[in-house]
Amino acid sequence: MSQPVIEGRLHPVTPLRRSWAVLAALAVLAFQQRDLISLRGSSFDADAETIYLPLWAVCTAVALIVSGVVGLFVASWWHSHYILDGSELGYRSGLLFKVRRHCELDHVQSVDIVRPFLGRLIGVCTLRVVMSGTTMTLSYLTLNQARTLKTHILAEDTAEESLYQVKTRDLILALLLDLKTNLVSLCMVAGAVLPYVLSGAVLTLSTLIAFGPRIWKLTGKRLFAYSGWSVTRTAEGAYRTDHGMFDTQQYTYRQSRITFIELHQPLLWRRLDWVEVRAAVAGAARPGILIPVCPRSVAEELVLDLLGSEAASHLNRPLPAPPAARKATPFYKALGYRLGDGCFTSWSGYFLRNVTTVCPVHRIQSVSVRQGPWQSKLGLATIHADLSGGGSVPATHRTTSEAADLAGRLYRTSMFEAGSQGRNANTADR
Amino acid sequence: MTSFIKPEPPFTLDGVALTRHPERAVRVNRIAAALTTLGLTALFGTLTALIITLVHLILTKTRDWHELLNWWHPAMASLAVLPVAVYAWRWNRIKVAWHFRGYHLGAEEIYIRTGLLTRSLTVLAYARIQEVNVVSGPIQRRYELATVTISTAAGSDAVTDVDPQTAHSMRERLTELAREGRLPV
Repeated sequence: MSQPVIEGRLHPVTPLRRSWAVLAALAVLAFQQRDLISLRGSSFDADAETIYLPLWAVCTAVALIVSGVVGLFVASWWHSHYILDGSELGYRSGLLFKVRRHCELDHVQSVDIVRPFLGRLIGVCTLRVVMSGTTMTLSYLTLNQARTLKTHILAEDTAEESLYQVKTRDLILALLLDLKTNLVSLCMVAGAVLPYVLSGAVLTLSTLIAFGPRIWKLTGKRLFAYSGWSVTRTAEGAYRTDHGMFDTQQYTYRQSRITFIELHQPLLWRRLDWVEVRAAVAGAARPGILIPVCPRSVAEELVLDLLGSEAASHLNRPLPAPPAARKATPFYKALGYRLGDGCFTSWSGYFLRNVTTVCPVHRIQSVSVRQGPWQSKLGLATIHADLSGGGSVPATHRTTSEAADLAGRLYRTSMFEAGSQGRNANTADR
Repeated sequence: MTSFIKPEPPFTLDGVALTRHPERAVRVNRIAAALTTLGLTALFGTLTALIITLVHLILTKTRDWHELLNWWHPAMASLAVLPVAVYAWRWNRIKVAWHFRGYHLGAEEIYIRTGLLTRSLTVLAYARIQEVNVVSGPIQRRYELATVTISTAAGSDAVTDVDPQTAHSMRERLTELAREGRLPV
C-alpha cells in the first residue's frame, strides 16, 4: 500500500482564529485614546493634557506593531503543518507552545467537514477526524485540501446513498409543535420580563441578557442549525448527517459504535406521527441527533438499517406495565418493554413526550434491579440495562417476579449475543 | 425489636445465599453516618439560625442586640433533639441495611446487592470488567476494611467493606477472570 505523501500548511487565516480579539482590542484602545495624542508637530495652542508626538514616531510605531503582528502571523502559519504519510496523519503547530499530534488511520472512525459561517465566506473549512475517545480538528483548510485529505484517510468508495432529507416546512411546523421546548422558553421569557412588568423599571430588562442566549438556543438556533438536514449512507454501516443554514455541520455515525437509539415523540407530533431520532455513540457525552423530525416509518426503516432486521418486530408491540403500576405513576400507559431477537426496547415518557429506546443486547454491560420504597409496597421493581458509555435503558415498574425473570434473561442473552458477536468478528478477521 | 429485611425474589439468587460483609462494616458505617449527620447539622443549623435571625430582625424591627432571639433559652434545646433523633434512626437502619447487603462471585458473573430505602441487585459479567481497584479510607483502615471498585465500560460498581485479604484476593481473581474471557465493548 504505497499512498502518496500528502502534506501542506493550514490556511493563512488560521492565526486570526484566536487572535482577532486581541487585534480588535488594540484597535479600540487606540481609537479611544485618540484625543490624548495629537499628531501636530509644533506646540502652539499648547494643551497640558495632550501629548505631542511627531508624525514620524507615530508612523514608526504603527509600522512596528503592524509588522510585528503580521510577522507573528506568518511565522505561526509557517509552523502549522500537516502530513498524511502512509497510515499516519500528523499535525504540528505553535511557536511558543508547540503542539504535535499523530493519529493512526486504523483508529479513525469518521472524518467530517465542518464549515463555519465566516469560513464559508472566505472558502475555508474545518476537518474533524473522530477517533474513539478523542477528536482531532484541523482548522482551517481550503475545501480542496480537506476533500483530498478526507478521501485519502477514509480510502472508501464514495458511493453515497441519500436516505432522508428533512423538508423546511416540516421542520418549522415540528419546532412550533414541540410543546415542551416552547413552554420552557416561554417560561424563561416570562421570568425575564416579569420584573419589568412588576416594577416598570427598564433596567430590569437586563435579565434578558442572561436568559437570551438560552432562549435563542431552544428556539431560533434550532431552526437554523437543523435546516437542510440530510442523512446519507456513505459506506457499509456509516451514516452521515449534514445540516445547518449558516454553519454547515457534518457528523458520521458508525453502526459499530452506536449503543442505543431513541425515538422521541412530543405530544403534538402524535397526530402527524412524527418522531425525532437520536443515536448514542459509545464515548460521546450525550445522544446526538440523527434526524430532527421524520415520519415514524422512515425512522423505523433507519432503525432496521442500523440494528438489523430483528429490530422490526420490536418497535410497535410493547409488553404493557402491570396494573399495580397504575398506583406508582399516572403515566403507566406509556411504559413497556420488549426483549428478544438481539434487541432490548423500552417505552417510557410523560405527558409531554414519549420515548422509545432500542439497544442491541450485546452492548449491555451490566443489569441491575432497583426498587424504591413505594415500589416495594406495590411489589414492583425497575430493571436497568447499563450500556457502554454510561447510558442505561430502563424497564420501569414491572412486577417482582417478572423483574427477576427479565434480569436473568437480559443478562444471559447479553452474554450469549456478545459471545456470538465476538466469534463473528474473529471469523471476519481471518 | 429490629425487623430485618428478608430479601425477596428480584433480590435473591436461586439456591445461593450471598456472602455477608464482616460485621465491623456496621460500625464503620455508623461512624461515617455520625460524621455526615454532624456536618449536615452544622450546615443546616447555621443556615436556619441565619434565616431565623434575619426574619426576626425584619419582623420586630429590632436594633438592639439584647432584644435578639435568645438562642440559649432552655426551649431551644429541643432543636438539638432533631439531629439526635435522625442519627438514632440511622443507627438502627444501618444494621438493617447490613443484613440486606451482600455479594456473590458466581461462575461467570458477580452479584452485588446494596441499598435499604432504594434496594438494588446488580449482575455483572467478569468478561466485561475493565478495571479493578482496592480503596480504603481512614475509618475503614482503623477497622481493617477495604472497598473493591469494579469498572466496566458502563461505569463503576463497588463491593464496599470487605476484609483487606478478601479484597486483594478478589482483585487478583477478578483481573484474572476478566483477562480470560475478554468481550468486546
